[in-house]
Amino acid sequence: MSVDKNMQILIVDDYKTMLRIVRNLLKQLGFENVDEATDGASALEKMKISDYQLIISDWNMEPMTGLDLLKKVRAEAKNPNVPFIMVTAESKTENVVAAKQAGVNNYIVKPFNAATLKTKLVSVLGEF
Amino acid sequence: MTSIDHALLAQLKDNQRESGELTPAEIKGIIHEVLDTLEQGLTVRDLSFFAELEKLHDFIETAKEEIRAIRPDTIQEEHIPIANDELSAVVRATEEATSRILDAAEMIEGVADSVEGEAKDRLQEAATVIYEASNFQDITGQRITKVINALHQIDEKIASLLTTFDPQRQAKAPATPVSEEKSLLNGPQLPENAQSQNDIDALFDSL
Repeated sequence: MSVDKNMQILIVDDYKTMLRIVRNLLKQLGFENVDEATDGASALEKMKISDYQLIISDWNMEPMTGLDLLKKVRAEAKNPNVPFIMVTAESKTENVVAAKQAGVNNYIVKPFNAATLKTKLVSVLGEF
Repeated sequence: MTSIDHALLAQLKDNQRESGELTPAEIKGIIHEVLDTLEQGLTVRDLSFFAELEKLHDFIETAKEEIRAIRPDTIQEEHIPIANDELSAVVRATEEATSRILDAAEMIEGVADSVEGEAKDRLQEAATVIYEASNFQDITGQRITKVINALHQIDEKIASLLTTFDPQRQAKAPATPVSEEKSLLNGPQLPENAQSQNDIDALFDSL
């Protein structure tokens, strides 16, 4: 099954420049239906309204961390199985283990490049 | 009344009975006896302990003088707030600069859309490189936030030190306990300690 490039994607990061970078890189890959949230609470609110097919979130956010957001998505979101990619500077083993246990689908370490983002999207969504 | 008091009283009465009054030699003898009694009550260990206590007291007093001399109140009231402000300014400046860089990259992409062939590819590639390089702003911001948090910790320790020396000083509220999720917020690792994307992938797949 081919990937629907018109799928709704939500990116969550408290750094507006990072939101812009991820959005632009996604656009280069053909994904233009991208929504943004600058914190976990507003991301959860947006998820009540829209059916996103992919969440790409930072970890290091306050007050709700990306890990908290992931746990809440898996526990109470309308679509608890939505693919979730963590994009983060947190590269310690304990972080990767905690994210995997919470149900993350893939993990990108910042700083990352466009090729890594594409590889992870293919891994989660399939070839496009 | 102790047995020593009884003995002393008896001796004084004897002396008074025999001579009617105490001679200087008799008084001296009594004083020596009292001093002997006192010395017998203090062991060598006690004396050594008191000497160590005195040394410790002198050491603490010297340390307090030295700490007062470096003016910890100035560090807390001037240096740390200035460092905080300067670092926050660096974060804001890099954010603004990155925003302008991204404006330029988006303009390049706009131009790429209006041309065809190799020029289009090269312009898009240039924009991609700029997006990738702009990751630095987020990492820099997180690193500086780590430093600001470290300064807050130092600030709290200095406040605690000052309160110890001056109990009248208003103690700062203790730091809020760190939740389990927050304890995983380590921020970016230094390059020599960080795991690469390949390391992370291998770990991720092994779990």
